[in-house]
Amino acid sequence: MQTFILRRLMIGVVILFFLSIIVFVLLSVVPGDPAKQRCGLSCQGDQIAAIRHSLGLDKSRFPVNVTGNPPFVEFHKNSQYGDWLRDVVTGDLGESQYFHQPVTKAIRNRLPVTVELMVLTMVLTILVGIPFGVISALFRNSPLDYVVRLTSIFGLSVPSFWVATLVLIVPLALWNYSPPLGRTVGFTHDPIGNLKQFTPAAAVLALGSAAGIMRLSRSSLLEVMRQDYMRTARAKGLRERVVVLRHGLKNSLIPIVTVLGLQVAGLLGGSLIIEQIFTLPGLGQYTFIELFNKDFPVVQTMTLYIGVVVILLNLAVDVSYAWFDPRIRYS
Amino acid sequence: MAKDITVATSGIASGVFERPERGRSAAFLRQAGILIRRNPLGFIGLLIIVVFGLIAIFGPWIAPYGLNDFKAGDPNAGMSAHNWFGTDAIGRDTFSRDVYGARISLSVAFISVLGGAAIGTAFGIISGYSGGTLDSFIQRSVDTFIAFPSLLLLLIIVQALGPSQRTVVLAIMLGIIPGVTRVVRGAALAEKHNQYVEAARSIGASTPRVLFRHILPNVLALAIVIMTTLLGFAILTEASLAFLGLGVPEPAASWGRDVSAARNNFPLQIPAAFFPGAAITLTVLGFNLLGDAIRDIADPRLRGSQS
Amino acid sequence: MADSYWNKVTAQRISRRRVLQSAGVAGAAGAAVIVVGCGGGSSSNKTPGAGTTPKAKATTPSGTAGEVLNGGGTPKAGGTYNIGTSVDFDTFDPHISIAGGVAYFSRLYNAVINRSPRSTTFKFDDLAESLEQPDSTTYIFKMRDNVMIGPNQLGVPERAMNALDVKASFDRIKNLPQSNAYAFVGQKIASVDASADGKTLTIKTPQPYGYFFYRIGSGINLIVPKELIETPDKMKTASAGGGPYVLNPGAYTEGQNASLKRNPSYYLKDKANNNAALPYIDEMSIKIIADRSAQRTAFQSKQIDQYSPQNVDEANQLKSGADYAINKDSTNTFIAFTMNPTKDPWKDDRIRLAAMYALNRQEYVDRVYKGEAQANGLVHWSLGDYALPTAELDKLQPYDPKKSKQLIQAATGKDTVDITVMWPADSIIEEHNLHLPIWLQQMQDAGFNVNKDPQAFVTWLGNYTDLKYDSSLALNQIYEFAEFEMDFEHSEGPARNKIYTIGVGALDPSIDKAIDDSKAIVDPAAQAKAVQDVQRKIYAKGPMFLPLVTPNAFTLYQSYVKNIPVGLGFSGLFLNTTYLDKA
Repeated sequence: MQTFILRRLMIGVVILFFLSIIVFVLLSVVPGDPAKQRCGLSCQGDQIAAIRHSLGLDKSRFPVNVTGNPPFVEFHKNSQYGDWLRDVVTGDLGESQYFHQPVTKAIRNRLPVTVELMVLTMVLTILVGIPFGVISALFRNSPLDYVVRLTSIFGLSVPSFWVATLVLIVPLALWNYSPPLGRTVGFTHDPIGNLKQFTPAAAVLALGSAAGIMRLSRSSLLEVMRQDYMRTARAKGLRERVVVLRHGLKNSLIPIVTVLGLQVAGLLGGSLIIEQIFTLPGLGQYTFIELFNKDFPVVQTMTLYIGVVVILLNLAVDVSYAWFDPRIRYS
Repeated sequence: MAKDITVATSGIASGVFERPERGRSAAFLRQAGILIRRNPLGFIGLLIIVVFGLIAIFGPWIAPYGLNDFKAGDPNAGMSAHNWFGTDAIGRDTFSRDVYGARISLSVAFISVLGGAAIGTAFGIISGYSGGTLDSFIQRSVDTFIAFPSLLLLLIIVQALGPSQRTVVLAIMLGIIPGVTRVVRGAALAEKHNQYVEAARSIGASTPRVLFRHILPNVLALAIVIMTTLLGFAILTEASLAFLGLGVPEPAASWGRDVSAARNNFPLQIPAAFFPGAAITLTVLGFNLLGDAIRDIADPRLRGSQS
Repeated sequence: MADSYWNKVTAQRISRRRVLQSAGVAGAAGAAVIVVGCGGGSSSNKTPGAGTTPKAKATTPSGTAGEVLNGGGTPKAGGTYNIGTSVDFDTFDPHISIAGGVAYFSRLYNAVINRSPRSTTFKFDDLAESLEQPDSTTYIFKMRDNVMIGPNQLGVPERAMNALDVKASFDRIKNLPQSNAYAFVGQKIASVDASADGKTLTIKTPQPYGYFFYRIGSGINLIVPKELIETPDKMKTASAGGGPYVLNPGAYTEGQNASLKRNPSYYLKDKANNNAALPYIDEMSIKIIADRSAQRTAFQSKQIDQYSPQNVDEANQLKSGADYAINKDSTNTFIAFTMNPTKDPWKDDRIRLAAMYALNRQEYVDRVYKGEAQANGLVHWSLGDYALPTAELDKLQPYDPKKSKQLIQAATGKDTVDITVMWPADSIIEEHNLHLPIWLQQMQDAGFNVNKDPQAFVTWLGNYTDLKYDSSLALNQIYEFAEFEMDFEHSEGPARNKIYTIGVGALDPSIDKAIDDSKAIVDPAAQAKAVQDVQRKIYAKGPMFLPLVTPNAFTLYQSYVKNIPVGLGFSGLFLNTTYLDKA
């Protein structure tokens, strides 16, 4: 087990490394000279150079450059990418040039918001998706089944930003009501108020994922129900419900858990939009603002951060397989 | 939607329609009738897609007003006989703009999915068939992209290249390729050990020939099945990008951007926010329903669990 | 969320600003309007400057300078004033901040003096008590000795602010390329000297400079205690100064809220009320509410005490059935069409004039602003005497697409001419998205084949900065006085550094000279007249920078907010007699 985890972590590091390079290259393609733009309207010559230096733009981009002259490769002690990588790895996440605050501080303030949103969304996804999917499978082809299937396919088709918009503007237009937006209250301070703020956002985010889980639970359980060992259990005379719950459900959970893990990546992306619309000051909103303000070092850092989270999460999912299915071993 | 694809298995039965021998058209119709009766939802999905396709193609003839005709009505008018869906902030007709929006959404979706699926299939076949380091490399790259919130990556791409229809198509294509590659790779891996392939190789068929004549056709069926889901994904993504202001720029009409514009418009006009989003939902729903039906038809083994 | 670079740009031009532009998501990314604090109306700015009334078509703003809204009654001390702002603070260092929070810094720190460009009678002498001008380039200020730095947690001694602090601040700006006022202090100020006892401040300008008074009191020139200049990092999230409020460490939570507490040592007293201590309001709580509809709801549920509706319809809708106080003010914002007169076909005067005649400005007034706006000349109408009279503008820049076509025919021999126009496509300023289709239609009707070139905001800004464009439909910009609008028409662009625009001065050097001469006129009335004459010259040649229309803006206040100064723009922020009349 340990070697498995270790190997996965190493692969994860490699993946993150490539990801960071790709993101860096993409971000450096953006045209325009940030120093000149920063300098502004009445810019003077010496200002541009000073600003460029303060932004770190006078360094070469990569630590290694291919040049036209021998020896054809030149190394740089300080480079934009190199310095960024070194800082990130040693824990210095840098400072936002837009907020003029350290990134670590932003993460500290904003992470709880995003985490709560994700947790709430996942809770809703599981609470809604799995039971309905199971019921749907158990009562296959009944009217209830059809309703669930229709609902779930609808849930997959609906754009989350549209639902979010309607959730906000319809009560506003009709009843002048809107959930308290902007400043978030801690859960411990005021649970009701806190939930009032987060639940609409989580519900909207959970629409798509719950729908997917509903479908998946249904098909996964149906698949498992047809397996030989299930027939054996039935043949032994166990009641259907026992059969399903004890044998079928646990095994059908593996693909569900896999997909839940995959969904987190998608939800993190969705949180970018949803946090904006519901004005939840989380990491998604932060990344978005930084991206739009072209604060690229921070975007790279956040990309890395999100990548780490996703990889660790998927690793946790994979490890959890062993609990679900004892046949799975990691050598 | 890639997660939904993984539920579909490889090994697609070829031949969706049986070819009748005599009285072709009558038998064909009967076949079609049976299919429709067995998959009513899929048929509805097909209808929806056809309707929106027609709207997209015949847009200019259907729309009562021009795309940017701001004299179509009073600004911020509600629904009326004059403006079926009301007007936007400067007086453009919402219904007309939604009709034109269909063109953007559908064309972007089709181009990006066709391109993305084609490239993804190529990568997947190469990766699955060749194995070894090339396979590993492609696989790891795919993992990199799948393990990451695609929206963020797309945002970065569009920011880097600037908003335009071409960029949006490119970005969505890049978002599709990893998922397709992974699925096709799985299928290609399975096919590699197929008897046909081994037989062909044993008589000395060259690799391209094997790829083309044996692997590709079987994999292609799978690709086509997942394309419907991908089309739904492409439309949602284009709408999301447009909502964020990074889609196809003004003055083109985009469903996503119209929703966002309606949100900030005061006084609030609910129709202006409702209808573009409803159009997105219906179109994606159509593709999903159709996709489900095709999957059911194409793989009878799944029929038990899906239908 | 305002784009940092553009903020930097606008900060150069004006004292305080309402950031109306942002590259990003509609409402979501949080953008556009900052609701500015206590008094003064969030919609900055000017009733026509030197005392003249607004031009015919616009409805008059509700208050002229010096008036108050919800006045009368006896001031009560105490209470918290809640404000919603869309844009988060980046730092509280007034010299380098580029986010929208700049508007609030006048609550924390002092200016030397402040003059409102809207009113000849408004004088706010903050650190300085009096002024002598022995010649047109020398300003000798006698400093007060009672502007006390309040209790603070930054270790700054609670002493009186003096000329040495002013010198320290200006020296810092001068040596800090990132500071917003770098160009102003570097180019327009020759020397800043403080007497050893700190009582006298002498500022010299290299040439006579007519806009000096408008710029010296700007928010980007606020004076901080010199101790803070030695450790400027302290100013990032807290403050210590002689202003009416103080931001203690911990009172600012990023992304959420900033809480400014009353400075008990503040020097100003309310003469009209038995020299009562000012400010009346104990605390200003600035909440970051990025989304407009969220702000609206917060206002309606009394979570915030003022709100700027987007347009007159919303204002009327909100006001009906409620007893909000409503203030209407002109603004200093507009969207402009910029041409590059060194490129084809804009080199030809006739083509530029054709573009000017193609524009039906009334259509923007009607469609985008529902009548609450007015057409602009080369200087926007809200600048009063600096702008040309409406009757004259109607003759100089009529809406005449037929004439456009004739000019195009004369210039090119063909019916239509091809032009390329760039604009920032991901702008979420609604005004821009609303202007665009109207503008495209008008240009097309006049014989222009528009080749559309929408770009990502930063790409657009980069091209605009580097002058890599043929023409551009630009974003909302804000100008509190006429200097920069005129500078755009100069051959070397604003600040003579050949970025952003190339003016028609490139085609006619006498225009350059006229612009430069107008800057040096120190008497406001004479300067206004000179600026008008410069515009006439430019019209004769064919302008390349066309501001379209400037709207009115509204602010609603809760009924218990009393003594709201109106008509002064950002200068009103220096007044502290607003109070809350809550039971």
